[in-house]
Amino acid sequence: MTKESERSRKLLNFYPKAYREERGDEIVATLQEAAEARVPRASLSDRISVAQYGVRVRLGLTSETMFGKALDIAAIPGLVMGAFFGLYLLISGDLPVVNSKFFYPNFGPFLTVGPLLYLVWILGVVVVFEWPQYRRRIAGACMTLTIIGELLAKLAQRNPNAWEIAILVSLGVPSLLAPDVYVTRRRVWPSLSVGLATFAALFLVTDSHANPGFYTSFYWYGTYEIAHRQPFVDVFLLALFAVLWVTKRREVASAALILSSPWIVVGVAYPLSLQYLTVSALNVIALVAWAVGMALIVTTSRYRPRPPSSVEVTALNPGA
Amino acid sequence: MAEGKKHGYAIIQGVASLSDGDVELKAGTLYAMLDRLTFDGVIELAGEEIVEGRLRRYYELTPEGTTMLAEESKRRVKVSNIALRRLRFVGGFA
Repeated sequence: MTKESERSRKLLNFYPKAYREERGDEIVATLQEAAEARVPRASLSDRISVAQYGVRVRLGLTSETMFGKALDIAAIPGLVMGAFFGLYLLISGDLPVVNSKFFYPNFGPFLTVGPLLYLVWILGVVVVFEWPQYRRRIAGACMTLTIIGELLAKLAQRNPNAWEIAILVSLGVPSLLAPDVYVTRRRVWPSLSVGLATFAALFLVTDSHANPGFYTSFYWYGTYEIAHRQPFVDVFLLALFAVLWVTKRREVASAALILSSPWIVVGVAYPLSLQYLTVSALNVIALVAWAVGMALIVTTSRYRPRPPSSVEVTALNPGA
Repeated sequence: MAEGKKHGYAIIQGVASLSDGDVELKAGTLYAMLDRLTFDGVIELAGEEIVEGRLRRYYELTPEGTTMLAEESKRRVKVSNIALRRLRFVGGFA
C-alpha cells in the first residue's frame, strides 16, 4: 500500500463501517486518481470533502435520510424564526429599556450591538429568500456575528442575556447542517408563518410588551417567562409533532421538533442554571419527550447498507 | 453518463470538461451525488473492474434517469431557443 493510498484510507474512518465496506475501495481509488491528476492543494480539498461527507453519512445528515430531509425543511423557517425573534427582542427587550424613566441599567445589548444583530438576521432572511442556495453561508454569518456581538457587548459591560442569544444562534443550526439538495426551495409562506407564529407565541408567553420600562424588558425576565409559561407552548409543539408523525408527515414532524429544540432545552436549562428557580415538571417531561423524538429521528436516519443492485455486476479485472 | 457508463474519476473529469473547467467536482461531493441519484433511481451500478490494483465501479443512467435527462435537456433547449430568438429580435445577437 502506497503512502498516498494509506492517507486516503485513513479518511474512511469518518464513515460508518457498513459504508466503508461498501464503498471504501472505490473512494480511495477515486481519490488516488484525482490526486495524481491535480496539484497537491486540489487533492487536499478532495480529502476534506471526502471527510466532510463521511461525517454527514455517520450522523445521518445526507439528503436521503429523515434527519437530512427534516433539516432541509427546517433550515429556512429556522432563519426566519430567528429574524422574528430578533424583532421581538428589539420591541420587547431593548426599546422598553431605552424608554424607561427609571435609572438606566447596563442591561441588554442595546446601544452596543443588539439592533445590529437583529438587523443581520432580518437581512439574512431577505437574502436567503432571494438566494436560498446560500442558506448555509448566510446562517454561518448570522451565527458568527451574533456570537462576536455577544462578546463585544460583554466587553462594553452591557450583559446581553446569554440564553436569548443562545436561542437566536441555535435557530441557524438547521441551515448550517442541512444537506445540499438539487434545488433549495424558498418556502417563503411556510417560513413566514412559522416566524409570525413564534412572534405571536412570545407575546402570549411573556408580557414584557406591556407598560414599557426597565422591569418590563424581556431582557429582565424574558427567559424566566419562557421557562415558566413554556409548558403550554411545549404541549402544543409536542402535540403538533405527534399529529404530524401519526399522519405520516414525518419529515415535517421532525422539522417541527428540530425547530422547537432551543425553546424546550432552554426551558429546563435556564432554571437549572439558577439555584433559586425551580424547574417546571412539565418542562422536564417535554424535554424527555423531545429527547425521545430526536433519538427516533437520529436512529431512523442511520446509514443502512443498500440492497444488492438488480443489475448484474461483472468483475472485468483486466489489471488484476 | 448520457454517453454510457462511467466510474467516479471519469465523472469528475466529465464535469470539468463539460463546464470548461469552471466546475471542479470534489470527491466527497461526487459520492454524495452518486448516493442521492442511486437512491432516487436515476442511476444504477453497471459493473466494476480492477485497474492497476484499484477498484473502479461504473454507474449508468436507469431508463427513468434517461427519460428525466432527455426531458430536462429538451426543456433547457426550449428555454435557450426562446432567449436566442428574443435576442435576435432586439438585435443583440447576430
